[in-house]
This record gives sequence, structure tokens and C-alpha cells, in this order.
Amino acid sequence: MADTVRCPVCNAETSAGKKFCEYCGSELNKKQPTMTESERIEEYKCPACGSPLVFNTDSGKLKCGSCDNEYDVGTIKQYQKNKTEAEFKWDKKYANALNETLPEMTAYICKSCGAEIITDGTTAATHCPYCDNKVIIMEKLTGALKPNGVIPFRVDKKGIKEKIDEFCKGKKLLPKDFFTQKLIDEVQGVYVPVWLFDGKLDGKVSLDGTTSSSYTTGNYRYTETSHYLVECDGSMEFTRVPVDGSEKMPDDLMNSIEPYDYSQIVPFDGQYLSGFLADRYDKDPDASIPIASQRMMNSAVAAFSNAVNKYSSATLRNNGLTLTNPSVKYVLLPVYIFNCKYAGKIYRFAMNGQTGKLVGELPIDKGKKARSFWIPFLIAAAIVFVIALFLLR
Amino acid sequence: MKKFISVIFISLILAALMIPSAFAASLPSWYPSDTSNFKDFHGSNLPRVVDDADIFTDLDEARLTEKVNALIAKFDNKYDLVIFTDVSNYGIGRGMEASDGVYPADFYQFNGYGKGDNYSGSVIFICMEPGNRYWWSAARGDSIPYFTSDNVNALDEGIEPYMADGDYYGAMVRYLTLLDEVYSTGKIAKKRTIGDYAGSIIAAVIVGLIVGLSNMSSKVKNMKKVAFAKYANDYIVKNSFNLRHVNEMFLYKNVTRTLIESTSRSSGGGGSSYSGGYHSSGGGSFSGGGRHF
Repeated sequence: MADTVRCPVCNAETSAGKKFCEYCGSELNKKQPTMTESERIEEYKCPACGSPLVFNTDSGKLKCGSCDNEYDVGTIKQYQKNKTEAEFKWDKKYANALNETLPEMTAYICKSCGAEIITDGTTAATHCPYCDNKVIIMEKLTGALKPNGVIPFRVDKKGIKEKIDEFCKGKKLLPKDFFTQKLIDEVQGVYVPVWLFDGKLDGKVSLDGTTSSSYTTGNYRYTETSHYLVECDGSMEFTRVPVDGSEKMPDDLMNSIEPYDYSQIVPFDGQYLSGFLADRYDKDPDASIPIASQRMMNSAVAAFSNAVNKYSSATLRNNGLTLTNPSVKYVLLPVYIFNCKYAGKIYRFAMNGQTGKLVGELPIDKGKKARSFWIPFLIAAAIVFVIALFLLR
Repeated sequence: MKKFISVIFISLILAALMIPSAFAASLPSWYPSDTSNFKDFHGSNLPRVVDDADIFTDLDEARLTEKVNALIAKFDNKYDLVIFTDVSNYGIGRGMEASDGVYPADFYQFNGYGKGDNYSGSVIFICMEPGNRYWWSAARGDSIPYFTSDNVNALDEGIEPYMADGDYYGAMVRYLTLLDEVYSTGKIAKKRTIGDYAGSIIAAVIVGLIVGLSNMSSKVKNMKKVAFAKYANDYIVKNSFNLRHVNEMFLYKNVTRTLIESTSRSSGGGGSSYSGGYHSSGGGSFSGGGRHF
């Protein structure tokens, strides 16, 4: 006589005479769909509760032993596909477009951060625009990659002052006279190396979609949530997705001064460097691809989610998009860089040299910050207290 | 023969035991045998304290009568008032609207209480029936507007500590003071405790914190205009999005159930039962409320 019985749901052995499985809690004597051992498909889990699914020979579907939901085999196979991030096929065709080098250039090497600042030979760099270090050494540079294009500076020194005033408007916690005229006079315009990626995302995206409806019966509100697996097949093209090619230039600053008007890109000419500095790239396209591709992917997935808008929520389950026809260009984009010291901390700002968009984290005046809390606090508390006293009368 | 005498004797004893309870269950003498044809009248020389439950001393009754008469006179005899106690409500009004309030309403109407054409006034009734002890204020005519849910609740709250302690005289003195306030001002000024003020202070501090912090955080947030770009929406080629096919597969359905909190109130306020309008057995319109103790 057997001392144990096998659970029809989890297949574990449990003591004979028990009503429920000691491992998964399923009812042992409950009538289960007839199946053979080979028909068990334990690798599939119920999307609703996560319990193993078993094949029901009567219905021809997969059934959950815990919550009794039934699923088509095909649906579950699609649903259980491993979550895989798309791998970009990057055939490096761009290499052909980046094979021209510049003639010998004058360059300043920062001994602090290692930045290589190229000039036209007539413009002297007195300090590093990235780290503000004064120790920079002039050298002759050969073999620098020639950019495919450049957007010339459009904002002049007068324009910088106007943009700063505009930027500071409404910044109530800004210390008084933070942006001094001296600082504005010392602002250095730098051409930042940027990779512009083109490409087409093509393939399938799987989404977990839900729809909800509510109704009231008696004293209860019932909410029905239906879960769907939504597969979308489509494509989307991108052009000139920028990734800065300078390790010294903070990516968040470069991201924040976007967008540039790329219709104003002109072929590179050394004359555009007159009066400005240019940084040489130190991050190659291969290192920049993941950044560009992630941005493209996020936009594409959002577009697919929005397209199936009948769902109250649609979240990414499986990303099968592939990047096709990729290409890259090397351009120089105009940026004014500010480094300001306040209370022992360096604050860095960047201004789009084409549009004048200024970004950065401003310092906070502690006294103004305290006042921004206490004044509204006291006013609101006093009003509420007076109203409360009035109501208590 | 002995057995026969014993049966007769036991029967007589049982009958003797049943007689008092039969009397106790009978209606008071003032209660009309036919209430359907009752016509309102103004009684004369009516007592303003009727202590059928005998819970007041003679001295207390005299003092209360004096206070009630003074109160009636203060408001130019516009509103009648009577304090009424009894050992039971005799089940009158059972199954009717405001069942606890029907008996005092009947007492008021059938005895001819009330001032003016619409018999204005009120009765405060104390029922001392074991297992069913309660008090009830019933108002008629021009007094009805004063016996609002809030006022009845305030009257009840005012006398509840006295009633719970068995100080019925103290309860009625307090009741008369509060009723004076009701007729004078239309409402009873609520006495505030330190807890009420503490609640106001806490509410003020919480609202102040929310306002202060939200103002400060919005200003601090405004100081930072830097973030990594997550999307490449600015670089999508116009009209390049091509959704070739969408395949939807239903997986499963969840149903959740949540209890809807009821916002309706079954009583007028606080712990009082209240009825804004009900009828006595004689058809008079009353309003009022009370509490069990």
C-alpha cells in the first residue's frame, strides 16, 4: 500500500490521507483533466497566477490547476516567449563616411581632464572649457577626423546676456548677481563633436494590454480587468539622432540643449573655428550606438503602445525590433559652456549656440529656500486655523 | 375533595399574582379609548411636571415646575413645556414612525397641552421601563423649527451625563437651560474642548506643511533644467511609422469587488434617534428625538 500520493497539480508527493497537497495546497481529490505524464507542460506558467499549466485533453487547452483559467496553446507559447532586448545589427557602413582627416591643426591639451581642444591657430585657449583648468598646453595635432558638417554659432555675446536674463526669470531661489558680466565675458564657445545616427526600426513588439470596466451591484463595486497579449508588427524611421562624442561633455547637458536645426548644417571649413574652440571626439560611434538605439527604441515602443489605444494600459513585454539601414555622420555642434563657482561648488551650464537654449542646475540661496517654505506655511496655517475657529463657533 | 380544594387554592393564588401585572399593562387613565375621533383642545390647569415614574422628590417637582413656568413666561407663553415621566410607554407607537416618540406625543396631545392655535410647545419624556429606558423630546406647532436634528442632538448630549448617573433632576435643570438657549438663539452653542482646538492646530500645521513644501519643492525643481533624454521623438522621420499588423490574444479576466461606503445617516446626529416629522396616535404632527440610557 502506497504511503504517498502524487499531487495532480504540482506533481509533488504528499502523505496519503491528506486532503490538500502539502506543497502547493491544491485539492488532492479534486477531479483533474485526464492526462498522461508526457502531456504535462510544466514549463508554461499561468499568466494570471503563475502556477504551472497542464494540458486538458477534453478541451484541448492548457488549464491552470490553481485558478482554473484556460488558455489556447498558441496564445501561451506567444506569451511565454523569453523577454529579449533587440540586438542592433550595426554593419559599420559608417566607416566609409569617416575616412577623411584634417590637416595639421593647433590643439590645446588639458592636463587636468585630458580634453583635446582644436583651434584654427589664431584663437588661443586660456582655460579648459570643460573643467576650467588653466594649465593647457598647445601642441600640433595631425590625423584628426574631418567632420562631415558643422552648425555655425548663431548666438553672439549680446545674445548670451539676453538668454541668461530670460533663463533666470522666475528662478526665485537664485542667489543675487550669480551670473556676473565678468562670467559672461569669459564664456567660451566650443564646437562639441556629435555622432548623428540614422536608421529604421523594424519588427514585432509584444505588449501586455489591459481593459477595465466597472459596475455596481448592491453595496459593492465590481471592476473587471481583461488581460491581453498584443503583438504589433511595424516599422519607424529615425534621422540624425544625436549622441555627443565627447567624454568630457556631460550627456545630460547635451541632451537638454536639444534640438538643433540640422537643416543649417554646412560642410566643415576651418574658418568656422575662428574665435571658437573645437573638441576632438574621444567616444567612437560603436560606444555611442547603445545610447542612440535606446532612445529610438523607447520612442518606437511608445508609438506602438499609443497606436493600440483601446487598452487602459499597455506595457512592453517583448521587444523584437531590429535596426536596419543604419548610418552615422560626424558633426560639430555649437555650445557655450559656463563654469560658475558658488559656495565652493562648481555649477556647469550649457547653451545651444544655435538657438540660445540654456540649461543647467542653478545654485540655491538657503535663505530664499527657507522663506519659500515658511511664508506659505504660516499664511496657509493661519488661514486654516481661522476657518477652523469660525467653524467651531 | 382535597385535591379539588388544592386546585382552587392554587388557581386563586395564580390569579392574585396576575392581577397587578394586568393592571400594569393597562393604559393610563388619560389615554382615550378611541383615538381616531380625537379632537384637539386646550387643557386647563395642567401640571408642567408629571412624574408618573416617581423619579423626582416632591421638592424637585416643585422646583422644576417653577423653572418650567418661568421658561414659558419668558417667551410670552408662545411655547408650552411639560416634563413627563412614566414607568413604560405601553408599547404605543410600536411599528410606527418614531415609535419611542409616539407615547410622549400622545401624552402632550391627549391632555390638551400646547399654546396657540397650533398647540405649540414640547414635552420631555423619560421612560423608566426596565430594558427600555430612554428619553425623548417631542415638539409641536411653532416649536418644531427649534427642534432640529442638531439641536435635539445637543440637548441629548447636554443631559446624557446626568441621565447616566441617575441625576434626573439635574438632567432636567440642564435641559431647561439648553432649551432656553434654543428658543433664544435658535441653536445651542457647542462647548469646545482642548481637543477641538488641538484638532484645528493639527489641521493648520498639516495644510501649512503641504502648502509650504509644495511651494518650496516647485521652486527647487525649477532650478534644475537638466535631464537625460529618454526618447528620440524629435528625430522620427515624418509619417514613417508604419503599423502593419496588430494581433490581440485574450488571456484572462480579473474581477475585484470593493465595498461602497455608505454616506447616509440613519439618525439625525451624534447618537440620537431623530425624526423630523411624525404623528401621534391622535394625528398631531410632531418632531423630536432622544436616546436610550
